[in-house]
Order: sequence, then structure tokens, then C-alpha cells
Amino acid sequence: MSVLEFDSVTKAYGRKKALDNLSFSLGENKITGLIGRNGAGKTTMLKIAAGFMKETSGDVRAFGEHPFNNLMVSANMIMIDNDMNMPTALDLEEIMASAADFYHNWDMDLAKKLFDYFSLNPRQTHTGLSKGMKNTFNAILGLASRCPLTIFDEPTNGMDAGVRKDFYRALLKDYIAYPRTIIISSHHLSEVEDILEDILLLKDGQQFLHMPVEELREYAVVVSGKEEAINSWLRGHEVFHKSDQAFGRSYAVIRNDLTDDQIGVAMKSGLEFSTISNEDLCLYLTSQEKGGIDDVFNKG
Amino acid sequence: MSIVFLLLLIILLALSFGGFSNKIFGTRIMSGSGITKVFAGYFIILLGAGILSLMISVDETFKGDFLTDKEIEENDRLNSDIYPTIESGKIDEAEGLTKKESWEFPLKGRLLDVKIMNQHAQIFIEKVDSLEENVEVTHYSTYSYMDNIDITDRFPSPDIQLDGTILKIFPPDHVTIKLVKFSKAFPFTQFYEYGEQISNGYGMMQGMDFIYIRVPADIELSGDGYVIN
Amino acid sequence: MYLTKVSLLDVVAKQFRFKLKSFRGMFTSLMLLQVMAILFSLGGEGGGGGGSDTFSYDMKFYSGNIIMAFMLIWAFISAIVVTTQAYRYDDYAFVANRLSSHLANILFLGWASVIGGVTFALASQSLKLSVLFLKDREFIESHPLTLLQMTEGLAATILYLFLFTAIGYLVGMLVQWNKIFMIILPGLLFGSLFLNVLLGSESTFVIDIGQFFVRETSFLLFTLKVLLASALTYGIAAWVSNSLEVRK
Repeated sequence: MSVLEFDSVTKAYGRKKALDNLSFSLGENKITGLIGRNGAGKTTMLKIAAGFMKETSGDVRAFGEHPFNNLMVSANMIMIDNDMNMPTALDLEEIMASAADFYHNWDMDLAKKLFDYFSLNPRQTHTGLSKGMKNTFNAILGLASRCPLTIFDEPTNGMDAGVRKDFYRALLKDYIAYPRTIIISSHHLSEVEDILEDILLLKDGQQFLHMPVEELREYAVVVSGKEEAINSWLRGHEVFHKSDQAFGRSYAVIRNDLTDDQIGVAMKSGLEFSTISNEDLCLYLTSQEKGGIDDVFNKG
Repeated sequence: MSIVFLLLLIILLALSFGGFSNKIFGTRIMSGSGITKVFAGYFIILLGAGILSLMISVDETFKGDFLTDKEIEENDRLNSDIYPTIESGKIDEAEGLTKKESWEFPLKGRLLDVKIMNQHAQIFIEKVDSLEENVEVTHYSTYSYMDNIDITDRFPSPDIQLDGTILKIFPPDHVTIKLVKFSKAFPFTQFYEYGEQISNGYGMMQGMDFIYIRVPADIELSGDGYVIN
Repeated sequence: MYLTKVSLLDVVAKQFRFKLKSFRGMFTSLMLLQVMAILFSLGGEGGGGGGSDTFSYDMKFYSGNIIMAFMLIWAFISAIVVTTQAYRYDDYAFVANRLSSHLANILFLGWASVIGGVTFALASQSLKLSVLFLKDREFIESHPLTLLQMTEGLAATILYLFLFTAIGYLVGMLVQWNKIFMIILPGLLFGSLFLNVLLGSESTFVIDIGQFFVRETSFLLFTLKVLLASALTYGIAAWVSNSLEVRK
């Protein structure tokens, strides 16, 4: 059964389409990383999945039901994001008590332990927290509620490096003990990719890639060498990114669908192959145009 | 007063749409369970005051019966008839009169001079055959009320003395009533007859005083007073 | 991981419990407004005096009406505050849908009306108590009420408050739906009042609506009128809110 399914979903704000005919399906009990640049539609997609927003067209299913304004989906889903609203009248301890009342699977023991570990003050109000502390607290809510669909939208914003590491480690441990479907959106793939199983890459409101992280590692390869050699060799290959470097050398990221023959030809023309980190690859894959920041400065 | 409320309403409305409202109607002032405790304290104080007000109100309140609007209307009707009724000598048939006090004085001689020291009451004199050596004086009054409360009893009778052949009627002491009236808010009065009273505002009505003097038939009268027969 | 089955009533009950805590600031404002209203009321509502040669009198009037007016404003504004974005979004921090959110809000505002009504009755008694301490004056209470009449009065107070929460809720939702109502609604209200003054007429739309409730002398009919009107108003508010996003 698929926990979350989008079928040609479009969300338009006026003439701008935040989501454009997006289709994908998330299987049960997987941690999926949602990657994309700012404005790629990540948050819009997550809010539609959580039932906070209504799609303009297409069909969305969470647990087989339409999530918008749906009580069953709401009870089995929690979305942790940066602008989570918490009542100003409640202190943190009371918020946790309320969460325990609402969420059937809530683990107060875990929540309390994490709360103490991150040295939060139970008498504090949510609005009184610093950004990092707020997100730490929200993350605790997301973990301890143990919802079958748990969504984290940029959960680590403002957290310091140590807390980020701890959070992801806690997430992984709790996920192993209590498997559930988790979506994490992040700018920093390198930070989360160790715990991800699948990756969903959005670009311009469309699905660009959806594959296991392992496959992504094999997805592309870097080739570099003399500019002319590269230019002639690249014909017929899918190029994700190409840039010129100093001393007449060029650098290209291409689809890793090379045959041994092709590799042999390349080696003969003095081209070198290397691997690319997933984070860099995603950056190239989602960049608006070929080239990059260098082009801005290479007008002359 | 309504203008003030209207202004207040506007101000509060403005506040409620601005961010300021959260300071007043939200909870930025106090957070957590502190509010609940403060509110509980407030409630206990109110409860104490409420119980206290029920306990002490009984013997402190103004004595007097409530008249309904109907009773007051009836009274007004009777009051207009009362003068001719008494004038025609039928005081016993007059309705709406309270007999407040009566005096009896032995007469010496066949003369009576009636003197009212301050014109505050109507004097009627009736010659009756049944009396021989006495004068009978009775003080009657119609109802007085203030805001629907019967205050007839509040007005004392005049002091009356027979000095030789002169019957002197001294005015009663000045009566001062200082009142404070507390009415319940409108939802408490809406469903009852009383509800309309406050708006109608009957205010204050002072009753008429009558001094009715009966003298033997053969007496010779002089001075104040209307002689019926 | 198995899915949790939920029933609407269960969620509404949970949200109501949640709102009892998260909206408790409303009771702070209730307290502040009541104290303010008692202080205002202590000035008295007016009085009169007069007399004759043999008699003079002097009266002062006090009543719970000022406190009641404050309470109605409180009910109205509190309901508006409930409809503001921050408070609406609070619901969606946890389990909710629109229906459950509206039902829990109505339930909470009903509860607030009860608290408002009871504290109003007590605050009114406190005012009476302080009036009793005016030692140089004799005290009268306008109408000695029977227990049944007291109970009906309290119930009517609560119903009035509830009616005002319903109106506030609708006004708040309209404003959330389109900010233009922030101008239109006061415009209609004051326009109607100005027309009243200009034309010198007794009745305006707003006053007529008020008369519909205030002139009702049967408690049973009054209850029916208020409950139906509140249900209708809340219904329209819920319908209006359908065009709002659940949460952004």
C-alpha cells in the first residue's frame, strides 16, 4: 500500500504554478528525502500532503483518503515545520501533554528524555524560544508522536551542528524501533543522506527524480579533460552540467549510462572520470540553466 | 451612556484586529497555569462577596411593599375621585385612603376654632348627631410611593392639640428619604412584569393628607376647614 | 504501523480540552473587564431628587447593566479573537479538521458564556454589596426575585453572551475571509445609526434585531430564539470559513 500518492497534482497561485503536474507515490515505512531548491514547491507539496492546503487539480491520497480537511489523515499525520503555531498560553510541558492527548501513539517517555537531553525548560512558552530551540522542540513533537506519516519540513533550521547530528541519530533509532513513513525536506542533502532510503527531487514544481539513494550514487559521473576533447566526446551523452576551468580544461557531469567501449574511447582522448557527491549532483540537477554562478562573472 | 459604550466598542474592535489584541485578549500577559490560579482566586473573591451580599441584605434594606404598575394606575384613578367623595361626606366609602391616626378631645363649651399652623393638609369638618361632648379628629392619607415602593408609612401624622376652644394642627416633622436603588441587569428583569417599570419611571408620588374632624351638631365653628354639612 | 481510527466526537472532546488551556487568556480579559466594569458602575447610573415643604428625597441608581454591557463586548471580541489566524492555526498543530475545529470553538465559547454568566451574576452581587456599604442611604433592590426568576435570569445572561459569541464568530470569519469587511461591517452599523439620527426614526435594522430578543417576555421563546439565531450565525460562519485554507 502506498502511504502517500500524488497523481498529476497541480497547485497554482494565480498564474504561477507551485506544483506542476506532480506525480509520485511513497511506499510504507520508508524515509524519503525531499530535495529541491527554494521555490521548487517542496513546502507546497508537503502542505498539500498534510491536508493543510487544497490542490488546484489532480488527485492526492494519503492512506487512501483525500487529506484535505480529513480527520483520519490528521490523526495519523504530523507535519513539523518552521512556522508551526503553538498556543501562546501553554508552556512546553503543557504542549507535550496536549500532544499526548491528541496522538494515539505518543511516547511521553521518549519526549521527556529528549526534552531533558536538549536542556529545554518545561516552563518556557513556545513563542519565547529561539529559532533553534523552537525547531528542536518541534522535532521532539514529530518524533514522539510516532505518526504513521511524519513530515519534517526543514527541521534543522537554526539548530547548531551538534543538535542536528543528535536529531538525525534519534530519528534513525526511533525509526528502526518503530518503522513509519517519514518525509524530510532539506537543503542539505549531505546532512541527511545517511539516513535516507529514497530521494525525491523536485524542480519547478515537477518531479525530477525519485529513486533510492543508492541508485543516485550511480546516477551520474564527472568527466574532465581538455576542452576540445570533452566537447567532441560529449555528443550523444546526457549532460547535466558543464563548466570551463582554467588552462583550457573542461568539466562535465553526465548521466552514468556509459558502456565500457565509451569509457575506453574517452580514456584514450585523455579524459578522466571521477564520482560526484549526491549533494553536488542535486545542485547541478536542479540548477536553472546550464552553467552556474561562474557564468555571471564570465560575461567578458 | 450609550455613546460611551459605542466608543468603547470601537476602541476594543480596533484593538482586536491589531496585534495589540493578543496582549489583552490573548495571553502574553501571563502564561501557563498562572492565569488559571489568578482566575480561580478572582472567582473565590466574587463568590465570597456574593454570599456576603445575600447574608447582609435582609435587615439593611428599605422597608416597604412593592406596588405593581397595575396597582399604581388603580391608585391614580382613585385619587382623582377622592376629593368629591370626601366633600360629599362619604369618607367611609372612599377607597385608597389609609387611616393613620385619630385623636379624641373633650369639648368645653359650644365653640371650636380650627387653626392649621402650616397648610399641608385638607381639613374637612362634619357635624354629627352622635357626638355630644367630644371632638374626633382623624388623619387620613392617600398612598405615597417612590419608584413603585409604598412609602405611605414614612409620613408621620401632624401633632394636634386642643387649647381651650382652639384646635391647633401642627405640621409634622420634615421627612427626608435618601435612597440608593440597585437593579439587576436587564436579562434578570426581561421576563417579568417589573421589566417595564424602570423605563416608565414612575418616580415619586406624595400622597394627599386629609384631617377629618367630627364635631357635635350644635357646635359653632370658626377658622380653617371645609364644613361638609 | 497501524492507523488510528478517530471519531469526530472524540477529536472535538480533545480539542475542547485543549482549548480550555490554550484560550485561558480569555478569562484574564474577562477578569480585567469585570473589575473595570465594577469600578465604572460604582459611579452610579444616575439619580434624582425633589420634595415638598414636608418632604424631600434623593435617589441614586445602581445596576448591573454596565457590567452586562462589558460582558457582551467581551463575548463578542473573544469570539473574534478565536477566529483570527493564529488561533485557527493552533488547532492544526494537532489533530483537527474544519468541522471539529468549529464544533470545539462553539463548545468552548458556550463554556466561556457559562463562566461569563456566572461570574457576571457574582460581580453584580459584589456591586450590590459595595452599594450596601453606602451607610447614609437606605437601600432598595428593585425586584426581589424568586429562585426560579434568578435561575432564568442567569440562563438568559448566558444565552445573551452566547448569542454575542456567535455574532463575533461570524464577524471574525467574514473579516478573515475578506479584509474589506473590516470597513463594511462598521460602516453598516454606524450608517444605520446615523440614518436613525438623521431621519429621527425609532427603528433601524440593528435596533430592530435587538428588539427581537430584548422584547421577548417568554423565557422559553427567548431561549428558542437565541439558540436558533446562534445556530444560524455559527452555521453561516462555518460556511464562510470553507473558502479559507485550513492552514498556510
